[in-house]
Amino acid sequence: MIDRPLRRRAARALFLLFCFIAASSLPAQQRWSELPAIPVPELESAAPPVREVLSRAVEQEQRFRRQIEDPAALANAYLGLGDVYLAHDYREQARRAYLNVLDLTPDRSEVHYRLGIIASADGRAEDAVAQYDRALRNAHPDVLVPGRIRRGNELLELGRVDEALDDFSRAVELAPDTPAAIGGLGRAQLRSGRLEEAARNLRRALEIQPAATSLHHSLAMALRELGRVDAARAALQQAGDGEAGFADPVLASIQMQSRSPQYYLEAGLAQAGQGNYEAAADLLGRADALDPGDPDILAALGEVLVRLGRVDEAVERFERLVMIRPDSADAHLYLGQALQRRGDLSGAESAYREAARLAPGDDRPTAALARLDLHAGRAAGAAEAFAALLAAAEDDDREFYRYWFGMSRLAAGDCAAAQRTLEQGAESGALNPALAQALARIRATCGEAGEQDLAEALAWAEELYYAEPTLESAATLAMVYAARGRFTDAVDLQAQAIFEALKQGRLDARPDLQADMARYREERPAERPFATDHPVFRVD
Amino acid sequence: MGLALGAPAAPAAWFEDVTAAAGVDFRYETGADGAFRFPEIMGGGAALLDYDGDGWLDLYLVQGGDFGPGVDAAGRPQRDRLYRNVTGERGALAFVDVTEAAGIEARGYGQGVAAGDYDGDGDADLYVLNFGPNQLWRNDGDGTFTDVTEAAGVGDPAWSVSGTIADLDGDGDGELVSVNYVDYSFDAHRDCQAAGSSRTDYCSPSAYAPVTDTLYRNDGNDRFSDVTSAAGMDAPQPGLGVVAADFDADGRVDLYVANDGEPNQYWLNRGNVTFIDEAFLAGNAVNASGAAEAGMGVDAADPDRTGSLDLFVTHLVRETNTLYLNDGKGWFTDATGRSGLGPPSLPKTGFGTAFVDFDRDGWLDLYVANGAVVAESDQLAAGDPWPYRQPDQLFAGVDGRTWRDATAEAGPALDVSLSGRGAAFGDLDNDGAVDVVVAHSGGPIRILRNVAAPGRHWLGLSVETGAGLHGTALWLLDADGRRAARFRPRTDGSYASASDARVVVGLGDEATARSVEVTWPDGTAERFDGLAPDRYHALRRGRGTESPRNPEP
Repeated sequence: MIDRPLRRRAARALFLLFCFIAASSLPAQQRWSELPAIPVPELESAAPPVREVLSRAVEQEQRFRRQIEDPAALANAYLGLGDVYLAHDYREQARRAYLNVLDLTPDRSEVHYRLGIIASADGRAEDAVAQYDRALRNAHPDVLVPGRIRRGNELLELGRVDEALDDFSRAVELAPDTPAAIGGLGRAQLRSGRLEEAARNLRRALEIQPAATSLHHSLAMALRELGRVDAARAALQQAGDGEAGFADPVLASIQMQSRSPQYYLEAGLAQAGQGNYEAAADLLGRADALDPGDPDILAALGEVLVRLGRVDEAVERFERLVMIRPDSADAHLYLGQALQRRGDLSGAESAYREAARLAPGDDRPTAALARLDLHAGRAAGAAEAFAALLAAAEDDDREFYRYWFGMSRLAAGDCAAAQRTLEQGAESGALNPALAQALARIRATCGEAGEQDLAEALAWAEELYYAEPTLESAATLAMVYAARGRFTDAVDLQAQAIFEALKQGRLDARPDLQADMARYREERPAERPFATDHPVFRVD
Repeated sequence: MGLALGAPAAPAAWFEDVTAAAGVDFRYETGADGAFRFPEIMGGGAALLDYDGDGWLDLYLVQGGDFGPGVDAAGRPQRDRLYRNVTGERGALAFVDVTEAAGIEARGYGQGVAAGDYDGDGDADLYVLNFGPNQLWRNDGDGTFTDVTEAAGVGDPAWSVSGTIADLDGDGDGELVSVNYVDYSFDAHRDCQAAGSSRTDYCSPSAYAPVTDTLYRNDGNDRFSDVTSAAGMDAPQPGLGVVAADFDADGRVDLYVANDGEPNQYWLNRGNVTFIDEAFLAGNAVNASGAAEAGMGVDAADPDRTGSLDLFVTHLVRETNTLYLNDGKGWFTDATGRSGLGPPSLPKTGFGTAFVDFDRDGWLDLYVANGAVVAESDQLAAGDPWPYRQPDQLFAGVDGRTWRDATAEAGPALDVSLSGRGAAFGDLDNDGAVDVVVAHSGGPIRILRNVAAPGRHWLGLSVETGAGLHGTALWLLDADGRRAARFRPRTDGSYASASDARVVVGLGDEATARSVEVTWPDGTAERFDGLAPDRYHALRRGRGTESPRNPEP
C-alpha cells in the first residue's frame, strides 16, 4: 500500500514529466524566446573601443535571437557573444551567454571550462571546481590539460590537497614538460608535506621556465622545512611574480576576440603612467597575446616587466623584439639592459656592442659598455671612453659623463686626476649626492685637501647621512670624521655601516668596511676612498 | 581537564545593533567631493579604552571631515569624539559625549587610533593616526587628556593609518609605532581609472610611492626619539595594519605589519631596539602561491592552542583572507586552504578583524569588517552615492584550525551593507560577551552587542602591566596544571583601531573555578588559582604564586 506522502510525491513527479514533455514539444522559436536575455552592460564608463565592440555585440544578440532557428547555430552565436564579453572582462554577461549555450546544447565541455574560468576570476572557487568537473567529463581535447591545472589550483585554494595532487599528477602525465603542471604538483606536494618531491618538481619547473619566479617562493618554503635555510634564502632572492605557464587554446581563442591590441597597448601605457605596473603588465600581456610581433608592445611590456623585477620575462620579450627588429639599436640596447639586470654581463656586453655597431652616434651603448669595463676592472679603457663621451656631450649629459670619467680615473689608481675631474663638477654647481660622496671620500683619503676642503667635505657627508642614513652615507661620514681626527665618532659611524651591511646580508662581500674600522680603532684614517671592488664601480 | 567545550548548537543570533539605543550618533565623514582623493577611502577607526578607570569601556571615534587643498585643517569643523560609557549608571548600554570635558581637540583628517599606557602610569593614552601630523593624547588620570604631541616629538607627518603602543625595549614604558601608507599629497594627486574603463575611481597604492613606518622610542618624561633608521626599519612599504607580539618566543616583542599589495613585514626584535625583517623566510610575507596580497587588517592569537601566536590578515576582493600558522619557532605556513576562511572572503575586501570567542564555546571566532575600495558596479548602476558597501562576515571557530561562515546566523545586525573599515572589540557591558564597534567610511558607527549563547560561561582577565601588555602571555591551565590554551592581551591589531585590553576566555558549559598562569614581559611566570567563572579578575604581579615553567601544550 502506498502511503499518502509517497502518492503525493509520485503525482508531482508525473506532473513535472508532463511539463517537460510539453516544453520539449514547443516550437523551437518559442523556446528560444524564453532564453534569458543577456543583461546589457553599462557601457557609458567603458573605454571607447570597448564601448564600440560591445554595442555591436548587444545589437547582434537582438538580431540572432530573431533570425537563427537552428539551436546549434544559436548556441554557437551565444558562444561567440560570450567570448566577446569575456575578452573584455564583462564576466557576468559572458556567464549568462554561456549558460544560454548550455541551455541549447548541454554538456559542452569547453563551455563549462569557460564558466570555470569566470568563476575562478570571480573568486568562486567551489563553483569553479564544479564547472571544471563538468568540463573534464568527456573532455574536449583543448581543456584536458588546462582544465586539470586550473582545477588543481582551485583545489589547492580550497585546501583539498589530495585532489589537487591527483589533478597535477595527471596533467604532468599528459603534458610532461608543462611548467604549470609540474610547479602545481610541487606546490601540492609541499602542502602535503612531501618536501623532497616538492623541491625536485619545483626546481624542474623552474628549469623549464625560469620566468616562473613565483615558484621560487614555494621552493624556498620546501627547503626551509627541510632545514636547508641558506638554500631557502637563496631561492627567496629569486622569487618574483612570474607565473608558471601552460598552453590554453580556449583562452587564447577568447583573447583573439578582444579589441585591437592597440587598445591594450594604450591602456597598458596609461596604467604604467599611473605607476600601476601590475595592471600595465596584465594589459600589455593581453596586447602581446593578440599581436606577438608588435615591437611597440614588446618594448613597453619588457620595460614594465623590468620595473616589476620580472627580469626573465623581460629578457624573453626583448629577445623577441631583437628577432623582429634585428637592425634596431634600441632593441639590442633594451635586451642588454635586461640581461645586465639578470646578471648576464657577457650577454649584455654582446647586445651593447651590437647596438653600438648599429648606431655609432648613440652614446648610450658606448656608456653602457664603459660601465661594464669599469665593472670588470678595465678602468683605463672605461676612462678613455667616458673622456670621449664627455668631450662630445650636450649640456644635459656633461656632468653625468664627468662623474664617471672621474670615477674611472679613480678606479685606475690616479687619485689626483680623479679629484681634479670631480672638483670641476662641484665647481660647475652640479653637486649631486653621488658626486658629493665621492669627493668627500677622496678629500678624506687619497686627495689633496686643506682644512677648509675637509670642513666642506664634512658638511656634505653629514648632510648625506642625515638625509638618508644608509650603509654608504654612514661609511662616508666615518671616513671624513677619521680624516679630521674624530676617531671615536668614526668608529661609531663605521659600526652602523657594518650593521647595515649585516642586515642586508652583504657583510662578507664588504671586507673594506672591517678594514677601515680596524684603521679607525688604531686612530688612522682610511687609506682609499673606495675599495677596488666597491659596489660603486659595479653594475650587478 | 582542558577547555570545556560548549554544545555545538549554534546560538539564535550573535549580535544586535544597539548604536542608537546607546546614544551614539556618529558618522565618519570622508569629505569626498568627486575628486577621488586617496585618503577618503581608507579611514576611519575606533578605540575602546577605560579612560576614566571606572571599569567600563569608553569609546573614542576617529573623524575625517572636510578634505581638499583648500581646507584649513586646523579649522575643520568635524573632529574626533570621545564617548563615556555610562552603562553602570543607567543599567543599559549607554554612552555620553564627553569630548569637550575631556579636553580632546583632534581636528586632523583622522584615519585610525592606537591606545595604550605609554607612560606606565596605569591609564590608557591615545595616539591618533592622521593624514597629516599624528597626535599623542596623554591621559592625565583625572578624566582629561593633554596633547603632548609637540613636546614628545611624535607628530609623524606621513599618512598614518594604524599604530601600536608597546614596550619594545623592555624598559617598562611604551614605544610608539606609526604604520604609514603612501606618499600622497594634493599636489601629487593622480586621476586613476579601473582597468578597461574610463570611469575615475580611487587609485591603488601602487600609484604612489610607499613610505616608511615610524618607530618612536620612549625616552621617558613624555619625550620620544625617532629611531626608525637606527632600528633598521627604514624600509618603505604601504602599511595598513600592525600587531606587536613575541612571535618567536625569544622574550622580545616583535612587530608584524600588513602591507597593501606588497610583502608584509615581520620585524623580529633583536634587542637594543633593532629589528630585522624576516618575513620571506618566515613564510608570512606572501601567500602560499608566493603572491603579495593587499594586507589591510591583522590579528594574532593562538586559535589552535599550540602555544604560539598565529596570524590572520584581511585582504582585497578576489584575494582570500589569509591564516598563517606559527610552528612555535616563529616560522609560518599559509594554512588558509583547509581553514574554511578562504573562499568566503574572495568576494569581499576585509579590513578590521579580530580573533574573539564570541560564543564562549572555547574556540576563537573571527569577525571581519568588509568594505570595497573600488566602486561596486551594481551599486554604481543603482546610483548609490557611495558605492563601496559590502556586508561584514562572522566565522565561527570549529576546532582551532577550521572555521565555518556563520554570517547568515549572526542575526539581522550583520544583514547590513556598509563600507566597513576599523573595528574595535571589547566587552562594553561587562557581561563576558565581547561586543564589536565598526567604523565605516562615509557611514555611521555601529555598536553590535554580543547576544550569542547567553548560558555559556566565561572567565574575564585583565593584567596590569602598563606598556608591557603586548609582551605578556596568559595561559589557561588544565586540571593537571598544564597549559591548555594561550591568550594574548592586546590593544592593537584589527585595522586603524584599538581594542579592549582584557581577555575573555570562553568556558562553554563548565562553570568551575579555573587557574591561569601569566608570563610577564620579563619572562617570569606567576600562577593565579581559584578564579571564579563569569566575572573579571585583575591579575596583579606578585599577588599570585610563582610558577615553574609549564610544559607547552
